[in-house]
Amino acid sequence: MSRALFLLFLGWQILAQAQYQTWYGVEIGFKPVKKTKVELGLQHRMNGIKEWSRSYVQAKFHVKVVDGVQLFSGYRFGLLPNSNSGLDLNPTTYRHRTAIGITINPTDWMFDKTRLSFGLTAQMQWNRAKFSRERTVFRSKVNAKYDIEHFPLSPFISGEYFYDFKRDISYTEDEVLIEGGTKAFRWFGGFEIELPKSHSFQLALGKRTAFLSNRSYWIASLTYQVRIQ
Amino acid sequence: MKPLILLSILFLSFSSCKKIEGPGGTSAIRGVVKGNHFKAGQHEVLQVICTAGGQIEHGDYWLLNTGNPSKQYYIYYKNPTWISNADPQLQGRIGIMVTFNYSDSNVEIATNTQAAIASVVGIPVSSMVSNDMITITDQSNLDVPDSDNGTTSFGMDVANQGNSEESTSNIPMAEERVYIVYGKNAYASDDVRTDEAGRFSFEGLQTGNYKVYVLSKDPLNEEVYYRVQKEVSIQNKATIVDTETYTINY
Repeated sequence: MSRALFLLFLGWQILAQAQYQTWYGVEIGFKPVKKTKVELGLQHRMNGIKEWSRSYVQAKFHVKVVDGVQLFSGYRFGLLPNSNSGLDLNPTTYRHRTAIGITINPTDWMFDKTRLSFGLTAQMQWNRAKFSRERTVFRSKVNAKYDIEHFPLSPFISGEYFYDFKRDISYTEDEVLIEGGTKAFRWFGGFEIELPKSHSFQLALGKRTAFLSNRSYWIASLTYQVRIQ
Repeated sequence: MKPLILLSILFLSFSSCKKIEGPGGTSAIRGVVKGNHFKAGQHEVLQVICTAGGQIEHGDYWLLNTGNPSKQYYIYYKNPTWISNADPQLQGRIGIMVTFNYSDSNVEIATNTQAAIASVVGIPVSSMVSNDMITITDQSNLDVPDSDNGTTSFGMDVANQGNSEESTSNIPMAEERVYIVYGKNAYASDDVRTDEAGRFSFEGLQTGNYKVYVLSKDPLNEEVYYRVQKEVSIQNKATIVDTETYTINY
């Protein structure tokens, strides 16, 4: 007990002294048609635990192509504080994101039934906002989860790479050069807590490391998930 | 069918994100600011306040400098009751004699002195007298070496420092502030400063219409400023729009 308290205290101290965000989310997933899946979600992000950073509403549509391969498309609407409120007199501004991608689960090819799931995701996304540059970002993610038998916690880890096709803009003497480059890395580790009737909680701790900027921060994430069969 | 509808809704939503003029783009507006300056030359004005005759001695003098190096003067005072030569005979200067009596008032001394100066043929100054004060205006637009009261107790004051005409044309204006107005806004939204060659650049702009202006001094009244403004339209992303040269008075 005392060890758990010590770890809790230590974790709290790390978070208190670091730049961090807390994410709170709700996700609902269901299968409208055979071989398809729809995920709807809400997420609220805070700088620390008190300052609002942004809120998202998102929808994602998956289609199973063959065993272990899914294609998906998604849309996310974001609402966030407007740093250019002097220009349009709105305290908040919005951001749109559309994405398409592919998810591959090699474990589906190797085993008929396994408690280990291992996935690779590649995603292209297009971000558009009122007072920010349009961004085209490629993301690739590796994630693994293990469902421990007769135990309510399923540990998982993931690592993600972000490549921005319009990261660097140089205004030379006579032209504008737009070059791509690594934007960030992000990893998560945590547990999924299984609840009765296809409900679950996902608790995760992660870090986003921005490349060529000092906007790196820790992330504490709590998501409530409902899977309607 | 359902996926198609969903995708259509997504892309419609995406394309409905309204962009307005301002930051968040990839284009730039550039230009050059050049300046003109003209300042008329000024005559040097000397004011001499004279004392009464009782405070002047036979042979006292003061120095009058002018903008013409070959015409420098000394004004000396001669009392007719004295037989000695009152002229100090200063080398390189032209002497102007003023006759006085110890009983002369300061106004009479001033009047006689101004009359003596005005009577010199070709003297490059104009003069006038008011009570005990003589105002001497140099005809050149030069910074004349200050005159000196010599052995008198006259007061000397340079009321206006002479200087020559200043004129520059089309020189690059460094460190000049340039303002940009986004879209239909009434007031400046951002500003930058010019570099050593007078160049400026607003970067990261979205497509749309902008007004870019520089403040110029009114040549008739240096306390008043007006805008030298140009309207600029950015038609495409990732482009650099060059404006015409801004010419201001400074």
